[in-house]
Amino acid sequence: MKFRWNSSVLLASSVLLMGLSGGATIAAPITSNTALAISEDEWLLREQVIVVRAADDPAGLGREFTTTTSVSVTGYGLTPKLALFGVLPLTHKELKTPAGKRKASGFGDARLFARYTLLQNNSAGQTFRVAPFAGVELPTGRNADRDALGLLPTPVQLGSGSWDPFVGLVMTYATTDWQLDTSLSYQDNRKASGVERGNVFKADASLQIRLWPDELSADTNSFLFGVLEANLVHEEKTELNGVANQDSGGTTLFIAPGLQYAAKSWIAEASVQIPVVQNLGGTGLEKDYITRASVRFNF
Amino acid sequence: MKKTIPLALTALAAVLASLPIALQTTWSPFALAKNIIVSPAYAAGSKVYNMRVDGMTCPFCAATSEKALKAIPGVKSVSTNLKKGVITVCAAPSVKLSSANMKSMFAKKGFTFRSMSTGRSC
Repeated sequence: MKFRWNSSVLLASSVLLMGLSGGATIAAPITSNTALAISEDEWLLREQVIVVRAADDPAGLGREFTTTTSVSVTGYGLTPKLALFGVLPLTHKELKTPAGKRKASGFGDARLFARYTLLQNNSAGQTFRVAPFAGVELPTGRNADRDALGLLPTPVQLGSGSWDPFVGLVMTYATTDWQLDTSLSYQDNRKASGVERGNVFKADASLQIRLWPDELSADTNSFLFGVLEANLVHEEKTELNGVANQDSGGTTLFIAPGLQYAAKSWIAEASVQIPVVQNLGGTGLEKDYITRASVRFNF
Repeated sequence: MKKTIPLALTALAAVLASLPIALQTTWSPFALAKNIIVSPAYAAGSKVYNMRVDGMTCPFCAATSEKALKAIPGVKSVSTNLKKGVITVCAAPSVKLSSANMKSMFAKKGFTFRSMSTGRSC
């Protein structure tokens, strides 16, 4: 069987992008979005380091794909209900293949989006919110890098070269003891340089339970949360010059345990996403894990 | 005799006038007898506001409201009881916080101001 490693690595990269889109927004969850608002005229900054390792090669060629990305997210409360976000990734990608090592470093595709609180119900120590969001992924990453072996494969390129809109809806129910966030999102990936990545659908859920302190008082200034999240990612097949690549696309389900320490003006958190189901097209390179660590500040 | 009564009354008045001062000092017999420890804030004058605010679920959430309250001149301290949804503000007597202003301020933070009560001391 002729092995199309380009397609499988393309899928791996697509899943990486999905992971970035799910976790790149400011959120009480670590890997996805929240409907909790940013106060009017307040800023929020989040820095998250994401490491993706995909080395489970069904083709048996020993391929390994590792990406390390530092994602900077800025959020601003334009009104109590409307928040604006900007996301900029700085990434290093490295793909080991039988033909040699292919790599690229630099800024990836930035994202701009807005989130609006459509429904809000507050009570003592509790809140329920529903917020749609919409935005666009910008072609700020290079998509035509070359090395000694020629044009880098599409998954190793830093950007897509296309303007890709996305929409979603997030729901949050939070108390002082626990919080549940669920979100749905859809990204329409457009064509650039003959490549049209498959559109992406995501469903995410996050449960955060306060582990410490046991009892709250007026002196309570910080929380420690245990976090358990789930991410379902479905990607349609990628088309190359209008022809669907059968070795692309697929569905992956991640489970992500984590910890989150929330103080008054900053939050530190970490999690690991473990793929429990991977149903990929053809001989797609399967993920081993995704690790995330981040800090957030409000000011 | 005519001079004695006015003098006595004057002395009594002086004693009565000095009582608040005596009560407010830690070394006074009155304070010691009653085991009263008087804070400098009280000695200087203060009042407390207890505000019921809905929607705050974590310290990160309360921080923005506390910051806004601490920025008000005369506010001495702010603390939040997340479980009860109560923010307590200790302020100088000159500070006047109104329910209307607080409702507007908390709305901008994304929370719901429900009610406010005041107290004499922090």
